[in-house]
Amino acid sequence: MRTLVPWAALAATLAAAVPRSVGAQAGHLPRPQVHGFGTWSSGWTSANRYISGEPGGDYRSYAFSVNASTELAGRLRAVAQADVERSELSEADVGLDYAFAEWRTSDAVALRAGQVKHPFGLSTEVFDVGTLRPFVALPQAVYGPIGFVAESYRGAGVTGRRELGRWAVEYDAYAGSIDVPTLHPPAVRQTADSSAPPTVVVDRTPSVLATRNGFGGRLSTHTPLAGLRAGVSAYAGTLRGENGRKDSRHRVVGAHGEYASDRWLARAELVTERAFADVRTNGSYVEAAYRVTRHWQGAVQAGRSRSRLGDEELELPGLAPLLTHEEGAVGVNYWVTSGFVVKTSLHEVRGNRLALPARTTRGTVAGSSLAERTRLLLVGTQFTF
Amino acid sequence: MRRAFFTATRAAALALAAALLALGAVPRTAAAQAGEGYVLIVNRSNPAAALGRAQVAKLFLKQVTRWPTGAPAEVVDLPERSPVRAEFTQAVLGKRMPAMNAYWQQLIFAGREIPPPQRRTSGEVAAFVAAAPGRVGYVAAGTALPAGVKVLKVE
Repeated sequence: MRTLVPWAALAATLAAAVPRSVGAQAGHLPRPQVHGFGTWSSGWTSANRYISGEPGGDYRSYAFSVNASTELAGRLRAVAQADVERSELSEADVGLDYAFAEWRTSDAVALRAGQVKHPFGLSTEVFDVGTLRPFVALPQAVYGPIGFVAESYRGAGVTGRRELGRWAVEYDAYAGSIDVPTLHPPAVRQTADSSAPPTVVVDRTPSVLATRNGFGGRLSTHTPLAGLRAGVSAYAGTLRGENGRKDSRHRVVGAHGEYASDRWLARAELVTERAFADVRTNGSYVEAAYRVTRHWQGAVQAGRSRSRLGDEELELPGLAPLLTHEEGAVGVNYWVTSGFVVKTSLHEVRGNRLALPARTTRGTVAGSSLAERTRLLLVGTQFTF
Repeated sequence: MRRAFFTATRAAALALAAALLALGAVPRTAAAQAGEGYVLIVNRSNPAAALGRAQVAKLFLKQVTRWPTGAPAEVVDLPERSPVRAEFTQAVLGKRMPAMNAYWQQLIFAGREIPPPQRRTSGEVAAFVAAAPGRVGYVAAGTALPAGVKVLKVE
């Protein structure tokens, strides 16, 4: 069913576009558009599995997406995007990024309904578009499977932009369900023997924070300085209790800033999350890139994420690294064209919140059995059309 | 008598030229604004004679989709590799082509907007603009303009 639905939705959008393209050629209707993007990456790590790298190398990470947009009537249009992806979290998987209808009542207000791109921070709406970022992957301290952001929400929302002299404000408000991919932070289990220390249980099975009855928004301000923008994002909803947990609130708040010019790109984001009443996570990163020539670009990145279980710090062997992700990276890119780039980067990671042994799915960690540091060499190509 | 003949002939020629111009038989060309290789054109029904550069940029970036009169605006581009487009994009939109491409990639894949349609040559752009009210485009300076368009000054 998961395989059929996204391709059916994409096929329906394209099928609606085909007769309209005939009409478009007759000059009656706008021409529908089809675009896409793809990525392939390969990585080698010194220990653990991280992004698309593992000890000995991994050459199998790829993704390809097709985007179709067509005007249905006047200010009403439909958009859909489907992808096929293989990553460190899943085998080849076909999915629907989004499929929604938009009715633009004016330049300032557009109504959307369906499976819509999740408007949070700088990059959720272009999550897999590699030509819009300086590294192969987005900063994992915020955009990794931490539990902060999703690629889409199912529901309805309003979006728009207002010009205020030399300033401009873009806004989004939405309601619905939001499925946030995550690798759960480790759980601490007290054994029956109360004299024995609690054990730390690691579960690396890809999971989803299914946030229901959610609502959220984003506000971004474009300043008079061309390329400089900043804003805030937030959403909240209910997480259904599982494994004995009660229903709880899921709240995420973030701030973002970006400066982009022909040569420079600088970004920073800060996010804080509370889930399951006793898990708090903060994440942040800074990133900068500079076009040395028309083709060559250098980039640097630093990020950090830290989770906290409960209200008090738990001093347990092996726990702290499982709650921490600290990363520094440098990269060099060669832009063949603005739509095709070859990237290479070196990442230094401390902590095992996201970097874990490749074979780890679920198990008990005792002491310092994990390699706390991971070095990753990543090579990739990314394109758009 | 010979002088009178030449004077009369010259006057007739001038009158004929004026008549042909009025009928559009003599092609008009897009005269560039000082120092620029492009000219902004709009459909002849558009009442505007000039527009601020910032306003023109918002139209071509699809940040606004209506003219100050409230009428819908429809923009058209030249191909990505066109030097005229590169000059217009730098001078009016304030971006080089790679940054312009990134701008449209962001909007396309966020599902927010699609780029304007493209026409291969300045002549095709001019024909497109002439075909419907509200349309606006830019052409290479010196392009022969059809009767259905007029030049819009960028202030």
